[in-house]
Order: sequence, then structure tokens, then C-alpha cells
Amino acid sequence: MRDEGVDLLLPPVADTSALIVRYPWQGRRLFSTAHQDLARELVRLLRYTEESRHAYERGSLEERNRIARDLHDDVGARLLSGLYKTELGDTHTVLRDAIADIRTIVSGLATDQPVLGQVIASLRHEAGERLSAAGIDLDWPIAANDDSETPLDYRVYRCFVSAHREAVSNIIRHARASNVAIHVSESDGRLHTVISDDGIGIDPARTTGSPNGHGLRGLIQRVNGVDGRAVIRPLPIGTTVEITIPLAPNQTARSDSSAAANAAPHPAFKG
Amino acid sequence: MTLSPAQGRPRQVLIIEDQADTRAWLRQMVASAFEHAEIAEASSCATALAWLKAHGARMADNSGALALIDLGMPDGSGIDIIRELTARYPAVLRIVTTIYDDDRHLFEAIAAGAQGYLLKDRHPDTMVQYLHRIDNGEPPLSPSIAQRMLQHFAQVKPQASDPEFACSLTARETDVLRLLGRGLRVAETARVLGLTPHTVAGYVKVIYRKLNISSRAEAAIEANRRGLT
Repeated sequence: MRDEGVDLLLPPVADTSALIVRYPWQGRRLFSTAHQDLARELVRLLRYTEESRHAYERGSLEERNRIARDLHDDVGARLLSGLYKTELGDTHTVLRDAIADIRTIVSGLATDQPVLGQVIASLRHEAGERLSAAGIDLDWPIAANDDSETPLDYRVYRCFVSAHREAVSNIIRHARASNVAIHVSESDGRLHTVISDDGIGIDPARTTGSPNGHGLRGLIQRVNGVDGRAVIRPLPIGTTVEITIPLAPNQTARSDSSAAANAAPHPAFKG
Repeated sequence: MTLSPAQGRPRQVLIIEDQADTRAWLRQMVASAFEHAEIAEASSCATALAWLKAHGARMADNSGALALIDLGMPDGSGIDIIRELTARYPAVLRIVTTIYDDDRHLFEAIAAGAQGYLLKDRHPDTMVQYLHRIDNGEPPLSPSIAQRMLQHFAQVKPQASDPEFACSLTARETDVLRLLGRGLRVAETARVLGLTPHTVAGYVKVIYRKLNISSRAEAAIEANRRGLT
């Protein structure tokens, strides 16, 4: 307020430049502190609206990037490897995996935010169906955190589901196991999964070796991409895969992991 | 497998699916699940409804008759066909065939009267096995649909005045839904509850039916409220 209420100075807001409003009511009255307060409040609301709109736009851009990345890195890579398979049966498997990926992406988008308990339930169901179709028993009893309402960050959700799927696929393809035990727990802001089988064990070279990669190599890369850790260990009989994923990975990992995935022309989905 | 020797007529199957390749594949699945089945096909809602008008009565008379219904048709939703079958030909077993396993699509289909569902990306062996199970009255139930059903029945008000619509769940049925909602399969659910898998599968079938009844009750109440009846 200036000149004892003749002028009211408004800051730039919502795409308009700064304004000086003067001579209220055609010069017959002056601005009062009440008008000043009202103007302040309006400016504050406009700024808030503007900020929300920007946040929304940023959010939808991030969302679009996320969908694009998932389609490219996961679905695209799978379909591509399906194209190269010479056995029709292998192509079928790859196509089914791609459809499963699309389902995960779509359901991750359709729900507001997946919660841990629900994600565990659908993974348990899926693992049970897949393993039983392969003649393998699943031991994954209901545990305390099955009721967990902890919301999962979309990246954590994708990583958790994919890593799980890959570990189970690997057992079905290679382990010749008759039993699989799975345990998931949540502590200190981390999601901890142990998947053990009683199969023929694993050749350590498979997880570290060829540049062409392997399902388990892809799993490790993916988990590293969200600041997590995946360890594959031989047991006296069989193998155990331990996956630890932070529930709130730091933001820098995002660009690192997508850069890494983009740099590799054939993400490790060759299993 | 088994015929329907009651009338000495082969089992009748109607496949409603707009994609020609998928239709051919489903026909194969049905043919290997049910030997000598008499299979008819429809590629749109309109042709399906026309077919039912002409042959529905004969089909409903055929024990073991079943319909495979795709939800996303070019000229409408398969849910309308499920509703038509449920209302006019309740003896025909109604099975949804879909690519979506999410609760939104399937919950609505079950509420409309579907008695089972099959995911079209399954391995042929699994597909045939699931067809047999549904035919035996053992429909599948995914965790997300089970959870959605739990929410639904938690809100259902008992219709004491109208015993036909008295369809809230028993404590046992709720237990079953809760465990299936946690991702346990029928056999595991049975073990936890100390029941036989057969009994648990029977509960699932009842829950399917109760969802259909309670959603019809809701529709009736809504129609009443709006003065449509």
C-alpha cells in the first residue's frame, strides 16, 4: 500500500506482471488494511493454485516417462527376444511374460498406490499357480505383514514384482526343484524377501558371467537400480535368493538405472 | 471327457469372441476338454443374442451346456450376454474368457452371473484343466477379487423382509474369502481351516452365487427407489 491508500501494489502472479492499482472507487475512497489483507490472501491462493498446477504437470510428465520406460525396457525387450526365439514354445513363454508385465504396469497405474499386503497376496497366488503347474510345491505361509497397508512406491512395486517373478521363473526353468519356500518381511524401511528351492543348485558363473546376461543377472541389475541388494547363494541342497529393497529409494537411482537400461541394447531378459 | 449322456446328446458349447484367431484357439481348448462337444461360435454381441434367441431354449435343455464369453466385444459388453443368460437360461454355465485378471472387470461379470473365468494367455494344458474345474463347480478366485468381494459383503444389509435376497455371508464363507484374499489357494485354505478342498471349493461357488443374488437385490431396490417397478 502506498500514498496512504491511494495505490495498492500487487506482485507478479499467475502469468500477469506486477500491477499498481490506484484510485479505488474512481478516486472517491482509499485502500484500507482490509483490502490489503484480501489482496494478500488472493495472491497467496493464486500462487498455491499455480504451484499445484506445476506439480501436477511435473507429475504427469514423470508418469508418462515412467510408462514409456516400462514399455521400452520391459515389454519391448521381452517382445524383441520373443522375435529371436527359434522354438515356438519359447516364443509363447516370452509372450506370456510380456502380457504379465503389461498387467503389472496397468494395475500399478490403475490403483492409487499398491499396498504391500495386496502385492504379497497376488504374488503368493501367482507363484502358487505357476509352481503347481510345474509340479513344484510352494511353502509360503501367511505372515504378520500380510495385512501391511504400507504403500509401495511405483518403482519399488515394479522391482519387487519383477524380481519375484524372475526368481520363480528361474527355479521353474533350471532348478529341477520339488519345493520352494518364500518368506517376505518388512523392517527398518526395507522389504526383505528370501526365496529358497531344493533343486540342483546354481553355477555361480551364471550370475556373473556372460555379457548377454541371464534372468538372474537382470534381477540383480534391477534390484541394484532401486538401491537394493540381491544375493544368490548355494545351499547344501538347492539355492536361496535374498532380495532387500528399500521402501523409499533415493531419487538419483532413477536416472542411473534408466541410463544403464538404455545403454544396454539387450536388457538381461535372455533366460 | 465326460459326455452328457442324460439326453444322449453331446454337450453344447457357445463361444462368444470377436478375434478370429482366439476363437479358433478357444474352440480347440473346448474340443480337447470335452470330447464330442457341439460347438457354436459368435463374433459379436448381436450375433450371440440372435443365436440364443434361435437356439437358447434347446441349449438350456442340454445338461452340461456352457458359454465362453469375452467381455470386450466391438458392439457391446459380454456382461450384457451374461445377464441375459443368467435371467433366461440359468442352466447354461457362464464362463468369462478374458485377458484382464483385474478385479474391476471380473467382479462386475460375477455380479452379473458369471460362474467362472479363464485367462486367455494361459498355457493350453492349464486352460483345459481350469475348464474342467469350473465345469465341476470349482471356480477360481484371485486375491484381488476375493478382497473386493469381502468389501462388498461387508456393506450388504441383510434383507430380512425378503428371504430370497437373504445373502450375507456365513462366518465360514468369510473365512474362506479372507484367506483366498491373502493369496492362498483352495488346498492351502482348506488346510488352514481344517476343511477338505472340496468343501472350500463349494464355498467359493456359493460366494459367486451370493454376489449375483445380492447385486440383483441391489438393482431391484434401486429400481424400486426410482419408481421403475
